[in-house]
Order: sequence, then C-alpha cells, then structure tokens
Amino acid sequence: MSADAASPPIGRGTTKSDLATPRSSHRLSRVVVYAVLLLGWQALSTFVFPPYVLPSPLLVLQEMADIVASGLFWKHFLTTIIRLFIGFAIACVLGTAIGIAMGRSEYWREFFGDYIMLTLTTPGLVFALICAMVFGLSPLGPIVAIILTSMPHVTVNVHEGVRAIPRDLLDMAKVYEVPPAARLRHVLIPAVAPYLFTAVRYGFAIAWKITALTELFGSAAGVGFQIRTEYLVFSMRGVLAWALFLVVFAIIIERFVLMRIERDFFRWRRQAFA
Amino acid sequence: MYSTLRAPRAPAGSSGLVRLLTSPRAARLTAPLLILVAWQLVAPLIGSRLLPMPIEVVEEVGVLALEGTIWSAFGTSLMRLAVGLGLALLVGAPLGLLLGVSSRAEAFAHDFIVIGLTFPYLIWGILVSMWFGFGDVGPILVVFIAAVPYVMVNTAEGVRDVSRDLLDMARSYNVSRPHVLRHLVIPSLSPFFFAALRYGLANGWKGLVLAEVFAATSGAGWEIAGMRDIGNAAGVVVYALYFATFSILVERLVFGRLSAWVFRWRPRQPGAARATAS
Amino acid sequence: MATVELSHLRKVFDGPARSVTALDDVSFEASGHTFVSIVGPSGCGKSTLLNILAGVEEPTSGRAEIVEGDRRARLGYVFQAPRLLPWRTVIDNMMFVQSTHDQATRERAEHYLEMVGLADTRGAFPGQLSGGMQQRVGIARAFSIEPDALLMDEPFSHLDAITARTLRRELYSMWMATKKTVLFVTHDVFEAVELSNRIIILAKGGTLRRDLTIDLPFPRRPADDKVALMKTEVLRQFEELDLVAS
Repeated sequence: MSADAASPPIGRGTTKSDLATPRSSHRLSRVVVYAVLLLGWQALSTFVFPPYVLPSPLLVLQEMADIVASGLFWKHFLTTIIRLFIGFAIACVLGTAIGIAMGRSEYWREFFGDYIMLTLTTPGLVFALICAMVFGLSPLGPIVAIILTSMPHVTVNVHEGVRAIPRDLLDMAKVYEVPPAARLRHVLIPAVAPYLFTAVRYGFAIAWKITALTELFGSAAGVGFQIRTEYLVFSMRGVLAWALFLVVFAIIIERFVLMRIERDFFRWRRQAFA
Repeated sequence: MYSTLRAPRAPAGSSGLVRLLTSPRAARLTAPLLILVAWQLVAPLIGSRLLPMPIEVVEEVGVLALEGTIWSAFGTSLMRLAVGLGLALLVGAPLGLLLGVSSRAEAFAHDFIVIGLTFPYLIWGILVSMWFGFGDVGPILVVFIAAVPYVMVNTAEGVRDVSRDLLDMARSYNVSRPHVLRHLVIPSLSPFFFAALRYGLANGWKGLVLAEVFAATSGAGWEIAGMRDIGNAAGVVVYALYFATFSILVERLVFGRLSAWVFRWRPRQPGAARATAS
Repeated sequence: MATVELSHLRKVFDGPARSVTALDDVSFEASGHTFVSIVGPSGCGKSTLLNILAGVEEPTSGRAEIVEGDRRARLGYVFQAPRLLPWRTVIDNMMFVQSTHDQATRERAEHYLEMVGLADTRGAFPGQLSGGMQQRVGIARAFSIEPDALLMDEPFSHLDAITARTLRRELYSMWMATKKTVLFVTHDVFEAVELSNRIIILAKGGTLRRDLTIDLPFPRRPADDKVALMKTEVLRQFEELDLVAS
C-alpha cells in the first residue's frame, strides 16, 4: 500500500460486499425473506400437496395453539429444554477444559484429536441411536448424546482461541508490570472470548437438534417423542407444529440472546461474524 | 550444560517405557485403548441387549461382512450422496459466485441461508418422506438441501477474497481475460471451493443418513435404524464403526491427500492445526 | 525511444466528507535513457500520477501519457509488494505477464531472472522465497516484457536497508543495460539522489514544486563525497519547501 493516501487502488471500481448496508434495507430484506417463505409454503400446500402431506401454515398454527391450550406443550417442551440445557452446560464445561488442554499440550492434542475428528464427521443419527439404545427411556440418553456431539464443536473453537492468545500483547503487559488479574481481564479474556462465543453458538446449534433426535428414538416424553408420535399417526400437522416450536425457540435464542451479546460485547471486532 | 536446557518429558530416572507411554505419539493409541477398556468394564453392567460387549461386536462384524447387505447399503448411500452433492455444487457454486459479487444479492440471500443452516435435517427427512415416499429422490433432495448453503457461503467467501492487488497487477500488465481467469481467479478460488466441497460433503452425508431412516428402504441410515428396531445392538455398533471408518477414510485419504496437493505451494506454517470445526 | 508527457495534469477525488486534490496542474516531459524520481510526502499524489500514466485511472483534467513513437508505450510496473501469484512458480509468474508464450519468450524470461541472480529459483513457489527475493522477481518480471518504459511505486520501501541497497544496485545495472525510461516514486530523498538523474518534488496537494537535474556521473557510490553533498543539497531544497505543512 503506497503511503499516498489520496490514491485509491487501481483497477475495477466495484467494492467488496458491503456489510455496512443501512439497517433499514437489512430489515426490509429480512421481512421479504420470511414473507416469501410463508407464501411459498402456502402455495405449495394449496396447489401442490394435499393437506395431509403438507398442511397450510394456518393449519399448523392452529395445531400449535391447540397443543399449548391442552397443556401438552408445557410438559414436553420443558422436558426437552431441561435436558438440552443440562447436556449443553456439561458439554460446554468439558469442551472448554479439553480445548484448553489441547491448546497447551501436544499430548492432549494427540489424545483427543482423532476423537474430535470422528465426532465432527459422524452423523448425529449414529449417536442418537446408540444413546437411545443404551440409555433407553432415561433422560441420560439425550444428555449423553448432546455431550458427545456438541462437545467437540466447543473444544475445537476453544482450542482455536487458546492458540490465538496474543503472546506479544501478554509480553507487553508483563513488561509494563500489569498485575495478573488485569492481564486476565483485559488481555486474555477479550482475546479468547470471541472463540468461546463461536463455540457456544455452534455447540448450541447441534445440541438442540440432537436432543430432539435422541428423544425421537428413545424417550417417553419431550418434543422428539411427540414428533415421533405424530409421525406414527401420519399427522403432518402435528409433526410440523412440534418442529416449529423447537425451530422458533432456536431462532429466538440465536437471534435475540446470542446475537445481542455479540453486538454489545464484540463491537471492537471489525470483521464480520459468519 | 546441555542437559539442563532440555525440558524433561518424564520424571528423572524413569524407564524408557514410561517415557514412551507418556509421549504424544502414544497418546493417539492410549485414547482408543482406554475406551476399549472402559467399554469392556461397563458393558456387562448394562446388559448386552443394550450395550454389546466388544467381543460380540467383533463377531457381528464378521457376520454382517459376510452377509453383504452392509456393503450394498453403504454403496447406495454413497451413490445418493454423490448425486446430491453434484447437484449442490452445480447449483450452489454459481449462486455463491453471484453472492460474492453482489452485496444486494447477499443481503437478500443471507436469511435464507441462515434458515437453511438451522433447519433440522430430521424435519427435512420426514417432509420428503411424505412428499416422495420411499426411494432415492427424498434422500438425494435432502443431501442437496443440506449441502447447498455451505457451497454457496464458501464460494461467495472465495469470490470476495480474490486479491485486489493481484488483479491490479494483471491489469497493469494487460494480461488477457482468459489467462486472468485461469491462472489468477480460479487458483485463488480453489481453497474456498475445497472448503465448499468438504463442508458440503460432511453435512450432505449427515442429512442423507437421517433422511434414509424416513424416506428410503435401503442405505446405511435405513439399515442402522433397522438394526436398532429389531434389537440387534451389536449390529448398531458395527454400523457405527463402519460410519467411523468411512469418516476416517474420507478425512485422511481424500481430504488429507487432496489438500496437501492443492495447497502444495503454501509456505510451511509452524504449528499448523488439524481438523477444524464445521 | 519512449517519451513521457504530462500537461496540466489535475486529479481530484471526491470523498464523502470533502474532495481531495491529488495532482494540481502538473506538467513535465521526459524521454530516452533517463531515471526520473518523483519524491514527496504521503498524500501528494505520487502513486496517482503513476496510475494515470499506466492508464488505469482517468485524470480530472489535463493530459498524461507515455508514447513510443506514435503508439502508446508498453509499460512495466513494479509495486511496493511483489504481487506474485503465490500458487505459481517463479518462472510461471514471469510467463503470466508475457504477451506471447513460446519458447523464445520463456528463454527471455529466464534471461532476466538470471540478471537478478535468481535463475536457480525458477521452479520455486513465491512462499519459499524471502521478501527481498520476491521483490527481485517482481523487478525481473517488469523488465522481462521489455517495456518501453518502467513505472516503479516505492518498490524498496518494505525491505530492510541492506536488501534495499542490494536491490538498488541491481536496478541500476539493469537500467544501464537496458537503457529504459524509468519513473520511480519514492519518499526517500537519499534513494532518489543515488538512483536518478532527475528529481521531481511534489508537495501535498499535488503541485509540482521542483524539477531538479542531478548531474553526477554513474555509477554512484552512496558513500561518495559528491553524492553525499548532493543529498544534503536536495534535502535542503526539500525542507525549504516546508513540505510537511498543509
């Protein structure tokens, strides 16, 4: 880059994908997307598929209301959520510990490396089936499945974070005799935090799906169990209703909890969050 | 003097064997060994209908290998994966290109892609079983749906990443368009295309086996679920091992070797990491 | 024989907050076997001038061109960063910018690679070379298309002093051997004195303030008394113009 501030780079005038498009156009395109999806669904259910194969959005919404009214919602949804959070919490704690270990020691990198690769590439179905099989109807099934599938995502990202700790910044802080607590708070944690955050995001995305899947194969309660029940009686309305409860829940957590944290705490990161 | 500079791996005076066992090279073997031992200890407590003993699994490997279904099952699945992935690349790559060059297209597609990445494959599997019954179409469609967002995102990333500096350089030397495309743009895109392939394949595979449970009567996913339905616990574990082996083969042979060849021009980075998150 | 012609060249950039004048009524001519340095502080439009001459930017008003006889001159461009394709070998990088791709061209490319002493690296990838070596390849590449004139944009500013000195010597020999017109942008006054027989000083805001002829014989040794005196003199001119203020 020339020291010449006045001259833009030679070549084409097109700019990179502009992530700073004004908020209004982002919001508008978001509304358009959901509208398109909804209309598409309605069109498909009206003109292409019979209602028992693809019920219209309204029918599904009605079913959802019925489920809530009947009290079934609370029983099963809460069951799933509890298992989800227990399993995910354990996965995060274990994953972080292993990730740190891997980041600091070649021994642990070798020890866990293959396992991480295997669990990242093996389909969740396999874990769901085995856990459902081994633990039967107990809530341990989904919880262990979450730990097995979600933990590697947490581990990998925490590992990345540990490797990315800015050694030169830490050395600088030591030279200026910054106390360890301040070093932890102002150097280490901000450096690792984004990776921790990504870890939680990816881990969570896997966790809720595997919970439902494991429940589907081996549970007597929960959203997954309900989906299976509805599927067995060929009620697409029921299947979609329960699925939507879960998907909407996931989107809410994603968008309103996680993204909000991201926006507030990571303002200093100019790079885009994928 | 020199001995004090070397960090000891094992306590002073320990035998060579201990040092070998605690070395990183041994770590790779220690892990599966520990799992095997734990498995052997735990299995009798749970009962072999729920968790087979290791020896039962070994037996079942032989049984299933001889019987032959397992081979054709994986073959069928791989065929569906190939078709679905091929379609995903065909459709996803040009779309990803479009997203990379047009910020408006990207803003529009962004939420679709997020939904595509979030929507559980389970539901897709059930939906396509309703729409297409049992067969190849449903699973192939799910592969497509699972892989396409990853292909698009990675291709778009690659397009955005083409070095402005290098393009300017080529332009200042009046290099012809076809040459720029062939020697500059395409090689610049190749790592991203590689990532598109890799994540498209990984996720397509995951979606596929799940779809096969609901929307097919053949294939690895259908078989492993079937094993569980008839209570053949050892069979489930054998299939799981085959899945694991498949993963290792693909990761090591295909992506390991391919990656080494595609990126042979890269300067060696100290402490390069291994398999990364999806 | 290439001729550089700038006539009342003006370039204004319209930014979101205000407009910036990079070049303001710049005129000069140069031709033949000459080494012209364009010196000035950051933001004075030096690179813009090269860009316009290379034809990748349009002037706001005025004219700037390099001609060879009655046609547009063929130009070689050396950048601050080597700008080599990292996935192609050194020799393939040389070939990438050629207009013909036959055996004769390849031999020519190899010849210029030899001139910078890097014939052995022809099969290596840029990632395997040091920064200085990569930049030498960049210079060889520019010369290898046998251009009518060469444009160089602070090519040594990212190198350490020792490597830069070596490359300056190499550049000088190549210039003497090929007898091209070279336009050399730099912020380093001393470098300009060592290399050029003409120094053009631009101020911030893009006005041409001085057009100095450096009448010293070549080859110039940096430690030579006369060269040192000339450096001091040019530096004095620089400071007289008080070019840092804006």
